[in-house]
Amino acid sequence: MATKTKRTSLIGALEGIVGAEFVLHTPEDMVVFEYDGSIGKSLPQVVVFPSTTEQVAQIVRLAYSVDVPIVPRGAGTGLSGGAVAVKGGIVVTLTRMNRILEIDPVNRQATVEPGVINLHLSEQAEPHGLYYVPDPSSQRVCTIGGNVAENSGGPHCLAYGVTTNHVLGLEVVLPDGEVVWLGGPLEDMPGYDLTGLFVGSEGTLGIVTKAIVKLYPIAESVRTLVAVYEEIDDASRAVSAIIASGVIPAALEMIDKVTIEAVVQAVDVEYPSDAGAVLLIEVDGLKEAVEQESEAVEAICRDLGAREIRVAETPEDRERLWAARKGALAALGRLAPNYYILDGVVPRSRLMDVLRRVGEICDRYDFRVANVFHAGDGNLHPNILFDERIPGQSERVLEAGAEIMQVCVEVGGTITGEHGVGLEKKGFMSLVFSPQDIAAMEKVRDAFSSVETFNPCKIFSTAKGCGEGWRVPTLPDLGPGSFL
Amino acid sequence: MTTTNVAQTLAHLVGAEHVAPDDQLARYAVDGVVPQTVVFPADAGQVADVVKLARAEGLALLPWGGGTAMAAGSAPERLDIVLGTRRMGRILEHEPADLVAIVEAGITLAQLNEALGRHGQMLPIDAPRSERATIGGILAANTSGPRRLSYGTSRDHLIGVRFVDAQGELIKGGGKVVKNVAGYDIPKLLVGSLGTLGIIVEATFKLAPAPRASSAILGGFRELDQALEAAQAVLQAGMRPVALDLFNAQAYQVVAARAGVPTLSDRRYFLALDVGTQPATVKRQVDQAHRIITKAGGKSLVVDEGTAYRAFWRAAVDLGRGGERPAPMITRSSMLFSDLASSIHGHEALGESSHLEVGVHVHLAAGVLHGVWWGEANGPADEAMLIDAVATLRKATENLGGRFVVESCGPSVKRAVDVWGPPGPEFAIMRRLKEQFDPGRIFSPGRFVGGL
Repeated sequence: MATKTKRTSLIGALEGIVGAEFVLHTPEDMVVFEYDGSIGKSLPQVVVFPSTTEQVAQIVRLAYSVDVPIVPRGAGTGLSGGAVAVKGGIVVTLTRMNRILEIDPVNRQATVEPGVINLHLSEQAEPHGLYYVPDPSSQRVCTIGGNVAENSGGPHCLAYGVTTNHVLGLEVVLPDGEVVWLGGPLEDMPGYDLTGLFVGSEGTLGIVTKAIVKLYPIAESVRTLVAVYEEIDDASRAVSAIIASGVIPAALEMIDKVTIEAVVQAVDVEYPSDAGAVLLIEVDGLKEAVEQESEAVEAICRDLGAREIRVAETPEDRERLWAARKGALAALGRLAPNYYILDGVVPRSRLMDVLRRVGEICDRYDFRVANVFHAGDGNLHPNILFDERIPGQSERVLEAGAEIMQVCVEVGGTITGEHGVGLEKKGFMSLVFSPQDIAAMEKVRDAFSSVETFNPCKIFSTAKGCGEGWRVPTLPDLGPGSFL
Repeated sequence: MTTTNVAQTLAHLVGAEHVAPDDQLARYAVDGVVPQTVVFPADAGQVADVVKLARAEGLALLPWGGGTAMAAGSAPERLDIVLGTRRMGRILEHEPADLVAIVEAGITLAQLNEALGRHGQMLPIDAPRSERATIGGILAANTSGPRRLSYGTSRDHLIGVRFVDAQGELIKGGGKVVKNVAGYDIPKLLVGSLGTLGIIVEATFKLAPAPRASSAILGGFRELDQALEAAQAVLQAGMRPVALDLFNAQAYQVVAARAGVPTLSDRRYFLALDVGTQPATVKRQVDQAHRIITKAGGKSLVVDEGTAYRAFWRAAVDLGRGGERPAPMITRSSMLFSDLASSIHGHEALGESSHLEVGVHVHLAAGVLHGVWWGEANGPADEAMLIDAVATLRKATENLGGRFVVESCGPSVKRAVDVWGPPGPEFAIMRRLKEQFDPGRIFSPGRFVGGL
């Protein structure tokens, strides 16, 4: 009874801050806020939609004062459970704060609210000949605030860097409710790089309420090509050879045989269905450089056994090739009811070896695996196909995933390249980091705040009270609308 | 422990021959503060041993790479041990096919780039006196230069780091793959921390392919507006310069004289574009830049690949730092591109009214303006005037919404000014970071922002 009263008064207080129409508290209303794009779910006590920095600050102060967990959320497309309210409490959804406050073409930067959809920023900057570089596959729905939290990547981050390379300053609400600017519109601010620490902190250090990001000039020339291989080994060799040759394409993606099988059923694209793997390669920049570099890339691809190279002749061709890449994950639903997405990174020279071992591991567990990933960065996305209705599969798919992460680390790589640790991979941090390394990260967290109820139980497995309330999850359906 | 005992213990830890003799201590003074001991550990393990000793004895420890940026920061409030990294200069790993290298902190930028160059690769960070400046020092001071326009700065290249923390533990952050979001971005913590959070012992970098062709095109203008108009046109014309810098006449004459390029003495402002990186794009961008410069009323000059090209950019990066005309003070103002004109004029007006001579060198797209302050007519600079200049420039820069830092100056000027300027409200987090990582204040105490 006491708990219920407490919850009722919390809801009342939140309604007082944002208005009753922007607070959800019935289980039916909150059901879509219990999960993100990852495994596992947990129902919050209440979901609130602030529209100003001050409202966010009031909500955070309220949560702090009544010792209730609080979890920030953008579009909910995250792939590691960062927005899952694992201890219940308040989910703060930032999607109403979706204004682009300024696009400054002279200084090539934009100031945006956290709920601005990634692609909208590039669309608004386009008339100025500019765009926002990071392009997660979910860019039609995911938000800049979420991108900042996760340090999101995307296919076109190979040449131009991930989110952290494009954020100049952040207005944030700290876990105790204080509002502070980290960085700002200028480069080279004196002091520690707080902006750099905040980007990629997975919503554990505070809530972004404004971001100043760099815009980049749209390339005058782009060439997109597809190289078709009989064997995935040859495609892997071509990736390493392209990077070693001194050409850094704007994007260098690999799509394997299993993925192609799914994609050709789902999307109108003429990938040869009997191919062992295809590389989707994009070169951009000055037109003279694009000509030279794409010729060099073509030559390498042929030398390493490409049976066919197709060049997109029109913008529509290019769109179609990318649609197949970006729709790949959704298409996997045609092959199996469930799939478990991994995000390991390996040195680019080890791709062939690691992909073989990924295949062997999945064979051993008797799972099919579909690989569709950012090959140029060495950022793998093995998608292990399974059926959660078959007893034991959910557990075994996690075991197979753990073995794959172990292989990535063994060859000098890491457990996550762009999806984040969140809830899902925190048990694997110790594969990469010593207790002292992790303690250093916890010192950073403690310097930002000592509020233990702020987005609790994420990244670190050492936090108190996080053992219960989170079990090894069974995997929910990830259907169309999921991205990687 | 007495000073003698500390020196003896250090000699025991690293070998007596790797502790500087007393008669050399003065060479390692920082802002006039002479250390009690200078020690050169062989590896991360020995660094950890030295740190543990410093911690146990409450001694202040300051890392020293090539000693090229020791005039940065505030004067240390205490200084007992200087820890030199010159014995830690190895390349630990370089796999060309990965475009990644792992190096010890004491390797110089020039040594590293010479080795990488043999594989057609480079670490595209600019640092003054690159034959002496070490990777550890460049990261700690967050040194950058002209090529930041296209390549970014240290924070964009550093993908992994190892440092010794205040407990003497070896801590790893990041890794050796180019994308990595496992946990917090610890490499960012160390970049620009000026030796106040830990001792960097190893760094892992994302590298870049070396350009296949390079050229610089210079434009001399009579008026600042013309030069800035041309710069804006370059940025809007779809060009992709590697660097886009501006010099006033005083700065340009020093650079041009050292590099052996024409001085164009009837011009007052100079644009310098580094164009690359393919032979065909070099030619096209040189032509394009020539048209833009001419249209804006400038006179253009091409500095081709080879000796003159390299000498020009080297002289630009080294401006005021040693060489023929070392400057008693170098300042850095950060502001928006659109506010630069006002600030450049302000620097020059101050130069005239104060009887100082000022070289202005600007990384235009980044909005970073270096003021290189000399005494008039090659004479010594009046320190009172330098001190006044700091106050005037800081006020003017802050009025434009910018930030002003003294990058280097002598100890007596440093005693009179706060080189960093007043920190903002976010300083509370910085203070807590320092407290978390170095509660005993053994690492370079007092040298950083806000007296950290």
